[in-house]
Amino acid sequence: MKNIMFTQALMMTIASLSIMTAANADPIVVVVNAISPVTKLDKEQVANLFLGKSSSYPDGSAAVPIEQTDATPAHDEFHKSITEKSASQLKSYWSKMIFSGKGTAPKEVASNAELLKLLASNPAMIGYIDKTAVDKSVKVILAP
Amino acid sequence: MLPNAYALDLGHDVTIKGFGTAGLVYSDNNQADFVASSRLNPRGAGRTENISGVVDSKLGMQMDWQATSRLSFTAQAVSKQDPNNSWVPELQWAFAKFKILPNLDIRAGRIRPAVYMLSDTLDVNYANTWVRPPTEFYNQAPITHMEGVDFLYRLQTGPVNWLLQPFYGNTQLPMTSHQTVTAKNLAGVNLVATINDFTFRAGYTYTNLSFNDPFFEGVVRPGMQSICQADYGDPVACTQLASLDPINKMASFASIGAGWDNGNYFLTGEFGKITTASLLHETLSGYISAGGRFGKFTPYATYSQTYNGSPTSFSGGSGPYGAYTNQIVTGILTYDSMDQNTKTLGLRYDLFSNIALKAQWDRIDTSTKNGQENTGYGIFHHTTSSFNNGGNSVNLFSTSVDFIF
Repeated sequence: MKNIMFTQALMMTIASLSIMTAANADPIVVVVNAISPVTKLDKEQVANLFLGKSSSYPDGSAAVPIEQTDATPAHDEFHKSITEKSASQLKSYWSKMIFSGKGTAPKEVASNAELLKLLASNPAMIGYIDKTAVDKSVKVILAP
Repeated sequence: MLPNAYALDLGHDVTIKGFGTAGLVYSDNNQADFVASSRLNPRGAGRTENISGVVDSKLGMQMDWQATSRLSFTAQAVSKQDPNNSWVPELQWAFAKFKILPNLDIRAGRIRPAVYMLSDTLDVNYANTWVRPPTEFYNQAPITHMEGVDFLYRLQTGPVNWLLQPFYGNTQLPMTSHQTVTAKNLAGVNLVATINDFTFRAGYTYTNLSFNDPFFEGVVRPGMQSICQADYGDPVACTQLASLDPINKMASFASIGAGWDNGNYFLTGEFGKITTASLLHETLSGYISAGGRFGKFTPYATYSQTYNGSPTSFSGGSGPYGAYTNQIVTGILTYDSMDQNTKTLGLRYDLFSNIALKAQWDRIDTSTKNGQENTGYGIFHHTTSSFNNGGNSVNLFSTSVDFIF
């Protein structure tokens, strides 16, 4: 009994800690055009798209990832939680891909608003924005 | 047109980008030059000058044209010390890439065969943690580019990301000591599997190699032919010449590599074996490297080694000219890279997200084959005879600024 109470207390502490952590940084969500047939991707699939390791959705249709510039808080949050790469690691990774001609880095936008505008023009595109910036034009397919 | 952090956009889907290294290397041994590749770099740190700027410094520019969503063109020129001691930029890559399927690309033109795990970034030091890739291993197969094709096939099975890259081509490249190497029908495959923080890699390359060497052609070959053809000559000279003549000899390089990198710490290594039909340069080489990332600092340590398994002396000559046969064959056998290992400690500092500063200490040890003369120079270049007859220990201090733009 004592053990169960202890476990409950511990779990509540962990839960409140993780809420606090989540509240610290603005959470981001991964989005596609609202008319896209894609409904859900996991973290690995999104990371693969943004690292150029795959270039299509699970149904085989082409995917076009769009980055935010590394000056945006969303960029840091996305790469911390999805690709798990620091700014330098990301640069190293892309310099390997680019200077061997194996891949090209995704195109970039400078803000949530620009991303929303761009996504509305092309259902193949996939991007990430602050959770608070989500509107009706997009569909959230991953909320890490 | 949207901007891209890794390139200057010239419009019309043309982008330009570059990379470079400014490096200084100090060697405490003035009897030999330390070079990044003894096949490709005629001069280095040590004997020519004790502090050298030519070992690692280079500048590369790349232009890409995305002609259609499936077709692109890439050209990359690199200026660095070449085998003729010139810095004229050379096209390292110049190819057309076509996306056959979303996960299958073909590239045709001038490409680099994916012989090593780090073949892609041999010039792009920014992309590597170290000042330079471990020399004992990366000295083994100096085919920097070829005219040919490769396929990049990517596949995902469960948690595993696969890259299958078969390649084929032909090339003729200048080497140091006025040599020219010709690789005919170079064919190989590069297979990479990535699972979370782990990378596994296997590669195999097979080719028909010819080394055109003025000294061999002007002195050694006619010398051995006359020993064999003379009255009371030594027929062994002819059979040895047939097996050692470096023209049209099969050579293969098989290698495996593995890495683990969780973002904070990494451990990586490669191991490779060269097999040739000419007896020369049957080598085993490998390295292991580990490090950690602490904010902008990345300290690392590496151990790297190469072992030449070919015979280094010959005593099978016969008849009155047998001694000459033995002397010449032994000379050829010792005209090759020898045993060497390096212990490395270094530190990378990421100054900005596109500039890294590095400092590295290498302790390089060469050893002889049972004390035999001319077998102690490892993979050093431009050596004195006292260095050739070593075992030698060399301390090397390197600093570099690596950048991409």
